[in-house]
Amino acid sequence: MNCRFGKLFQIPRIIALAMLFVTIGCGKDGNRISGTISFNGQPVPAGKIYFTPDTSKGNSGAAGFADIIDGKYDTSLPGGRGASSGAMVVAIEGIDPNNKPAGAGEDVTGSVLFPRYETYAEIAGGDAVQDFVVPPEAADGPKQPAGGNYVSP
Amino acid sequence: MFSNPRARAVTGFTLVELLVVIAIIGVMVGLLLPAVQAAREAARRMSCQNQLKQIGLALHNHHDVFGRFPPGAEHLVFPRPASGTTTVLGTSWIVHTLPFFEQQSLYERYDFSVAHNHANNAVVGNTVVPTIYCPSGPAPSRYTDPNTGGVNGNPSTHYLGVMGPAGTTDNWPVVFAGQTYTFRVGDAATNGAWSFHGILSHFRHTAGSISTNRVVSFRDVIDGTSNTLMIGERSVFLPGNSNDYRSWIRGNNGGTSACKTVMNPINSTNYNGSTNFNHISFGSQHPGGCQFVLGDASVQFVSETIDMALYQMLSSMGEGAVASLSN
Repeated sequence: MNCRFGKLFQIPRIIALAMLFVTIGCGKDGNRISGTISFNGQPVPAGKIYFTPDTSKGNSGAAGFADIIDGKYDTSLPGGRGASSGAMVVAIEGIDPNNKPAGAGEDVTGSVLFPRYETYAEIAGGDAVQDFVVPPEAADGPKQPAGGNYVSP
Repeated sequence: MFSNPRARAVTGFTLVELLVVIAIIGVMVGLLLPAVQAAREAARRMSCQNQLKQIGLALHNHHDVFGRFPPGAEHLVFPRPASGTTTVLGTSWIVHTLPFFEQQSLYERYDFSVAHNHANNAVVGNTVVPTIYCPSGPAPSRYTDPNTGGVNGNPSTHYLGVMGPAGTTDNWPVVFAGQTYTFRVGDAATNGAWSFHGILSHFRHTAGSISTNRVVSFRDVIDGTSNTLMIGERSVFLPGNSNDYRSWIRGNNGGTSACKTVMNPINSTNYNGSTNFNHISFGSQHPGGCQFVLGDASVQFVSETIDMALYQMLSSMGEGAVASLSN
């Protein structure tokens, strides 16, 4: 094309500049964490995972979370938010959405695969991939010694 | 008519001029429209703040009259006026607070001798009280109580009592500023989980629970009313066809509809259909967080990235720690 603005508008340069602005502008809040979650060898069908900074190890900051869908989670998807980095308490809730227990109240539509299971993880900065295997004994729920604090199963 | 080409060039606009003008206008509108939307959101947020302030003052007025805060979520209570030892499912704090924000007539129509979901209370339950809906959130008619038992289709509320910190076990530990605090959690493993440490939490007349005849007044707010969350917002749109909004007059009925615990981050959690009904998170359509009424009836915006330990400490009224929204 015989364009007399050829010196002023060079398409590749404009595209490069636009991409630069977009990469600078789209800063993420928190680190993206993704991975798989399984229980008894099966992917966890539904639920939620939370990454809360472990204050007992001196970490603090914003908590991250993600929906669990068919054994996978990703904090960058809708229903999720990136976490800060460092030592984290990871809480996992596993739900069977289509299996209402007999005699449950009218608010209940699904059943629990295992009570909220807590474990620990170190989350590095940037995109982190972290897979979790929920042990079978998590189905028994958190252990609570008579006089003491909560202990993860 | 246009025989002279020079005259035509002077009187008309060229295509380039037209395009440049359209481009400039496009850019200006593009800059202006988000500003207008932001100004609207700011106005809605102020309106929401105003309503929360009204409700905070209403709770103070309730305290002035009765010497205590209303029960956050009644579970099994004796009917009023008393009739034997039978118990009914109780009501929410909002019903008890109605006379103090100009809803005396509605309060008088409420029948305290029967359960919240009894047909006698259908008219009150179906009434939309405009003060309890955030203008940024879904309209009151968008999510109505889907439960089929008793009263059906009641509107919900966007303003929920803060029951306090909760965990999955009783004596739940929270490490804050290097110290460990433990919190009593009732019915920790069930939908009805609740905390003993919030200004508005469970109440029952029946014996056998730490919520039996639980009364909270200003003297119990040891941490200072300016450092304790009392009411929070939940005015979010839900994904798909899910609906976990429940009637605004409901106390505790398996789960609690007008109070929630502080267990999960702001804007994080909807009902999972099973265990977390009382742990549904506070949240709003206001960008970046939601608003809370503190015990002193001031309204503060709390960021969704608040440290979880601080957030849980703020929701508790009596652990003796220096937790403040400014730290």
